Amino acid sequence: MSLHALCLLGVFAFATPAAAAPEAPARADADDAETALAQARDHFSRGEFAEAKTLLLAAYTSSHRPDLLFALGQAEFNLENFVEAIDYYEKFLATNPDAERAALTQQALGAARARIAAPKPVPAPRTVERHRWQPEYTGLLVLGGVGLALGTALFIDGHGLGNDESGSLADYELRIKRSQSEQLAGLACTIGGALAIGGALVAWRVRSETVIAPSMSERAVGVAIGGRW
Amino acid sequence: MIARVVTATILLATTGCWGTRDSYHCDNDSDCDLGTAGRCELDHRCTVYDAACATERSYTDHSGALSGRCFDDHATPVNACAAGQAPAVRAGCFADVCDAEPACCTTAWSEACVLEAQIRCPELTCATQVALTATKGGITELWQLAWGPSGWTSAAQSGGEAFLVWLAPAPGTANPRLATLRDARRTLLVDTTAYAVADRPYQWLTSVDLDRDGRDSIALSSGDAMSPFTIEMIELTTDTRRDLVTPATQRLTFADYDHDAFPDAFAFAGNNYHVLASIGDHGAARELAPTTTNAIPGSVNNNTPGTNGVHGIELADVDRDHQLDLIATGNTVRIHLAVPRIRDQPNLSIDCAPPVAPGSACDPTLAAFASTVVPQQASTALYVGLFPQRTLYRGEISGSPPALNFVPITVPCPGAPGTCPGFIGMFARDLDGDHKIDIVAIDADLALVTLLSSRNNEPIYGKPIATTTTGYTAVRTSLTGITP
Repeated sequence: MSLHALCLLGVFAFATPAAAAPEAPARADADDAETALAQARDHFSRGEFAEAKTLLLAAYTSSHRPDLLFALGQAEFNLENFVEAIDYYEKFLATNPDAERAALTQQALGAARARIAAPKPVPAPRTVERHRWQPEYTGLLVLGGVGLALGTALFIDGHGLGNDESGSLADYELRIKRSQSEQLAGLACTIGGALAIGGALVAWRVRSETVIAPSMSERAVGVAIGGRW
Repeated sequence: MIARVVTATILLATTGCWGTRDSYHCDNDSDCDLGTAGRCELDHRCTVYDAACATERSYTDHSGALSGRCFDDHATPVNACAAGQAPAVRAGCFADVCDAEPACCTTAWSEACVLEAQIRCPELTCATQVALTATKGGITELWQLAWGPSGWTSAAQSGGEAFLVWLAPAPGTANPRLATLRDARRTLLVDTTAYAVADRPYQWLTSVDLDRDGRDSIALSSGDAMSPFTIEMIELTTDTRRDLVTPATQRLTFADYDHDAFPDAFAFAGNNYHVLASIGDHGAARELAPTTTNAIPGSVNNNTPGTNGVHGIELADVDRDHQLDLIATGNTVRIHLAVPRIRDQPNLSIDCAPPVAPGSACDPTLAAFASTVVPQQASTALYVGLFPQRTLYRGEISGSPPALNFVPITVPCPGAPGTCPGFIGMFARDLDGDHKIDIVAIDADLALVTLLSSRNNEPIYGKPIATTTTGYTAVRTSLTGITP
């Protein structure tokens, strides 16, 4: 039986009208308690356990109905406040319920204790980052292409200058210096263009995932960070 | 992967492997306009003045693998039998030659180097060729002589004028080139190539690389009492020329006077012989500066008719100290030793008949001289021929300071005693290939007296090569050799 089913069963099973309360003030309290219990059931069905707990506490404070103790225990259980749940369950058992209710309460009590004894659940790995094609990658590709083209043009022109032996030696030396400058600039442009294109391609073609996986045990606590390209 | 590509590209950039050669080739000197005194070399690379280099030149940047290296004109002589070539590379037997005469590897391959090579290079065989220019008054006769197994053969060179000269082989080639003037001295003919020249009283021609640029250069000298003495430097490949005005141009010859690795000039005019030192101003084309002048008396009795005090100049290592000394021959023989620079004043003066030092008991006006220095493995002999007496002497040089002791050599005369003329010219070469130097004396009738070492230097008389004219007053010889 799931915890939620147990919860609803418990709430429906225990929260029956108090037929044995004849006095008028007691009747009014009983009505309030029934109303609160009905609302609490609605919250339970929607998983709104904190709201249910608030209603049940208010009803119990005013009515001190023992069956509300079990319902409070269920609310605390679903809120994963297992110690408080156990406290409510034990208080309820102390009211000497009938055997069927006592058995159900013992079952809930066992479940709460088991949850306390069980290791804390490990959060599921969470993907932090995932790259997808972005418009700026297109810009990088275009920029890289321009850089490559310009670099190649500068390199070829510089190469031609360096191999041009026309004119005097002074002319040639000037051309050599210009050739070296052009080829260096060409190199820089080529490298820049290649880096831009490469960066865009890497960002596009290779999935980049960074995985953060925390782990915890009784003896150690750690966080594993991993990636995949 | 990207990182590798980027790294490789940067490495290419930093190591200069761009495909740019950084290699400039020039066509003429004006192309070489960086540095001092740029010059475009035969290999089409630029050099500039560099005092740290023996040639005072180094290659400029952008000269490929040669960039920054000293310009080097050394070359292994293709024909070691010919003088006037670039300094030799010190290798093989040429290293031995250059041990004996360092100038052969530092300055130029001169006639003294040829003689040393004939002694020290066992594989070297030279078929000796002589260009002979004989004059008597206004008569000039040109003869080409060749030594062969049967002795000398001669051939008159008709059509030539002023002189007949053997030039060095063009750089990288083996064949010496015969040169003379033609067309009323308006054409210089080098083998079959004609060069137009100015109308000048030309005196002599010789191969010399004055600028140490490795080019095919000659020095054409001219001048007389009515015309300025001029040495015309001609680069034969491009026919570029420049004139150097000097005080003397006769028997122009070159050797390193001051040991700066550049050839200096030696020449005479009238009774004076001159040292003309080559000077270079930070890489500029070199000039010849009159440095020392000495005189030999011209007005002596029995002088060779129509001649002045000086008849010839030779550069040879007289005292075997590995330096070329200066020997001026005429009415006296003057020897200037190199210590290491050739001394301004002569160390030895030889006069009289028999030849003795001046001041001795003899009549110093009795004789004119022809001479040649004969190197041997460890010593040197000086042969002198006298005029008008037909006598030859062999002088052994010894001692320090060197002294000469002469021994007479009996010279045959086919006619009656006293009818044969004296000697007006001499030269030395290994004629018969025994790696010992032989001597040839030329008398005034152009008869050749040959002293072969293989025949114990016994004079062998040869008939006059000229059949119509006798009594020549001067003879100039230009030697070369052909390697088989």
